[in-house]
Amino acid sequence: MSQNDISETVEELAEEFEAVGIEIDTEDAEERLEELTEFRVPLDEAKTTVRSSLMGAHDVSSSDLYQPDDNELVAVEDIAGLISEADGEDIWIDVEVTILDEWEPKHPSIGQVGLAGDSSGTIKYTSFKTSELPDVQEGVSYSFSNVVASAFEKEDGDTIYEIKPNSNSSITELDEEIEVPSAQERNSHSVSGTVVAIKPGSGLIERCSEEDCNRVLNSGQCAVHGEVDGEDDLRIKAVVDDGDEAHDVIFGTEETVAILGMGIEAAVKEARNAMDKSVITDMLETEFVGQHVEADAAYFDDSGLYLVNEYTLDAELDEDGISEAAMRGRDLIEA
Amino acid sequence: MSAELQDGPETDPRGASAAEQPRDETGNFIKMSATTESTDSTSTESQNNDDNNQSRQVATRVLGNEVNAVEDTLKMGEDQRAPVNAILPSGGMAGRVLIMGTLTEAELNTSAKGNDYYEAQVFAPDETVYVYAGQYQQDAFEALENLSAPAFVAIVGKISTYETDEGETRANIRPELITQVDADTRDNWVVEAANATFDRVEAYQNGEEDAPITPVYGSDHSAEPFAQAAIDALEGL
Repeated sequence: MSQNDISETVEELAEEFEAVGIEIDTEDAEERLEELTEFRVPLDEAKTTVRSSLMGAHDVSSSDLYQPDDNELVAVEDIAGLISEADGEDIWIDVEVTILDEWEPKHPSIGQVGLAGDSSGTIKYTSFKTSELPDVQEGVSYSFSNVVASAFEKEDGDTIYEIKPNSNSSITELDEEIEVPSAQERNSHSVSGTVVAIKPGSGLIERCSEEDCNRVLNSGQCAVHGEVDGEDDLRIKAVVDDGDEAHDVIFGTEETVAILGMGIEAAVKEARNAMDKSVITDMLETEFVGQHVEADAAYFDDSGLYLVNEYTLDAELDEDGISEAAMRGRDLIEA
Repeated sequence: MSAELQDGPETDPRGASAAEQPRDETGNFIKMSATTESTDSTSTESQNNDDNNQSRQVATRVLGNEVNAVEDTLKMGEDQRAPVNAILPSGGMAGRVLIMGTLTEAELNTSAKGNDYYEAQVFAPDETVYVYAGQYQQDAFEALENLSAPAFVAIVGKISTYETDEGETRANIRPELITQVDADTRDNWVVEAANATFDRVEAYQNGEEDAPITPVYGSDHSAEPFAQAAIDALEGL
């Protein structure tokens, strides 16, 4: 990496900030890049660091700053993985989707909110009035460029992924229709991996008894109906992890009963005897963590969760796998 | 049955832009200092809570010999709750790991501060790794109380390093969960871990790895021995 590369990087940074009306101290930026690279920080990391501190110094946020790097055109299903690679931080992407559902904004600052998708999955989108973006319509396909994709952790620990177009983004209607699988196809994904965690909200839970509600109660409260009588139920919120991706997967009553080895009444009794519901969760940990699961699941659009339709616990030894892997290893060493 | 579908998900109360994660003045990564009495470290608990702050770290499959060869960890940011990744000598980093092996021993000890902890030995091919479960690893501690060696176990946890008085680095596992598994499950894991190791070695050999391997392991480091160890582990099945 040469002095030229550093000068180029300084120019790129200057351009980025110029686009939002800010003139940066290029000499200072160059010095800091030099210093960082002398300390063995790779140039693109150094650029990110200098950019961050410039953002702080000039009070500019990441979604204000246009990042002219070429974004990858990503599939919806890649977004979670990309965010994870960025250690949970917001990323900039391009994506082509069809608008599936428009929702009622719950906050006055929101322009539009709803669900969009491509053939690989669905994701929430949110735009803000201040960004003055063109409206999108249900059933129409758009190219979203330079949008922020982010992950938001809900109180109960689930993650919602969303794309957030802003004033640096552009939304263009596409002539071609981005195909989205039918509701039925959309609702069937294979999820496989090892159960590595049993999340809070697993085991014995209570559901709202109001007609047609069924929401899981939080300390006896329903998010919609307030304080209600709860109906006991069993479920598991497991993290199924295959080493590349970790998915939140919900196992329903039937599945949980099978895994636990007892029905709802028996579980309630067990919890009562121990005066603690967590005995059930402990049992689930003992029975289920470490197991390899292959599941067919419906993908929950708004929160990225999977609800299992069917699953198998895969406990047989994969003999072919052993020899295939060994061969691969030997090739790798001989290469 | 229906799960808790909502008619329109909650708005992100933070508004359009997420808070910027603070970065260090001299570079993104901050080296984690070695801790000696690791079982009493409070940082473990906050690391176990990383689910609350960012997208969950995937559980990397690492064989026993590689765990023991880990020389250093990196804290990914300034925030006290920023995740800590172990730098793997096969190339790559691991925040969270999934290890399976044979529990050969679990000894209950008391730390200098008077807290109980378990020192467990787990043979994950081809070496024995040490696992420490103290007051901040309650679930794992209880699991060890109820398990008796020998038994096949699965451990989800993090790799942690410390320096001995002689200046040598030792790596061990800080467990989140320990459960018993059967022989086939454990054997299948060996295959997964071997493949994961090959993936890392391949990426490292192709220069695709941007983890700081060289600063930690030296410029004449080779990831090959770890691929070889993985082959040996497979042949042992």
